[in-house]
Amino acid sequence: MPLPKRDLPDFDAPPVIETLLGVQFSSTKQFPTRLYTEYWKRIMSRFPSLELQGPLPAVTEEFGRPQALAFGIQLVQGDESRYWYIDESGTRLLQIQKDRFIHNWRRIKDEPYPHYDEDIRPRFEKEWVEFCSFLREKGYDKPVVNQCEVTYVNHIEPGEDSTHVGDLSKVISCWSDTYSGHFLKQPETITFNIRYVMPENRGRLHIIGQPVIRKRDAKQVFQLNLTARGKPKSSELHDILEWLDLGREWIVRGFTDFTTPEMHRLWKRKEGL
Amino acid sequence: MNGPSNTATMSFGYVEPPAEASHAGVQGQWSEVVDWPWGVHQIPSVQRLLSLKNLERDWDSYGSQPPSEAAIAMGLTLLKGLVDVGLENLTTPRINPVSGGGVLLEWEAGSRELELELLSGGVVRYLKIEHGEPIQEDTVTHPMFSQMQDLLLWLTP
Repeated sequence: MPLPKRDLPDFDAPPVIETLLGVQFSSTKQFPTRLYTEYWKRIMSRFPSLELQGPLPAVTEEFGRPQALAFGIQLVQGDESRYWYIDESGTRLLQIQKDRFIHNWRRIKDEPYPHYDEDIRPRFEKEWVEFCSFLREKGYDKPVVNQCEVTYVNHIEPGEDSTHVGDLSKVISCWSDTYSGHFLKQPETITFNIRYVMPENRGRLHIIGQPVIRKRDAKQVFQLNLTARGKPKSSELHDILEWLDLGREWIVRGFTDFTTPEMHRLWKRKEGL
Repeated sequence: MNGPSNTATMSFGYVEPPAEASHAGVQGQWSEVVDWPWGVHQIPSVQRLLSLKNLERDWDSYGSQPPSEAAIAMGLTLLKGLVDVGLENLTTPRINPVSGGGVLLEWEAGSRELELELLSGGVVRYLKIEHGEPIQEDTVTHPMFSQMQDLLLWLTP
């Protein structure tokens, strides 16, 4: 399905180190272990490694009413695990559990960011279509998608003149490093969790910032996660993709608004976009 | 102080923590990061510990592997746990790899020294030294964190 043309801000060297495109769904039948292993056989040429992880909890963006509380007894019959199908390069991952399907790309060395339009979206589409087709073959109903999610994980490395992770005013456009008085000095650490409602309650954009140490190179960085999540109009592929496009637009525009022009120059923002 | 018991049933951190615990921030994030509730002065220790994973095979010229994920995870749990028990101001430990895939953490406080050797499979070897003389050593399998805490508290009487 072609991507509608949108003039979004674009960067030649963005700080993104990982992207996730995913859906949360319900299914009328449980997923037994053999379903996951049979699916692995089907995709093994692309995803030769398999790992098991604990399940992700369900997350739903609610509007106009308090977060629903779940009562009652849940009879667990299917396999609750989250299956990780990993490609040979270690940069692509499919995560599947009873109610989740997520496609990840991550940077492990200096790989260029594979752009959304050219790579990330088409790959998600291909894998989701194949998974739905597999479920159909196995006698499962089409998954009812209740949430779509797009996440971009950015790692902002301290510059030579800014070795302290607390120095965020150079990175975050709405952050000021000045105080009303002189009592407080530079903070030891900063974490934040900000959320924005998308028009017509179509979802939310969450921006989470926190200092972290990256395991692969033990480097201290500031991690800026942007997650857009919401409910698509239906479970049809075009509506899922429409929501993912909207979520990605919110992330790109949100990221650009949230960060400073000084950093945009460093990340090589393209002229006119 | 009694040394750690060899009959402990609860382990501390020798099992790799659930993936999500080390993927801070976002559900489903794949890139592994360590967030820190600890103080800034502990960051170099965490970085040193993580960097050991990237040692070449045969780093000791005796064919040893770099420290195992389990040993490093155990070290991280230990460093993180220091904050919970108010020991974050303990002197920065010396951290070095050990042949066979382990990690050695050494603390010095006044006349006392403590060596903790974190080995694969949840085994910890410890040595207490006072005035330059070894006074107690033992090997503990799957120790509880409180046992490690007791050892560290010995450094700060």
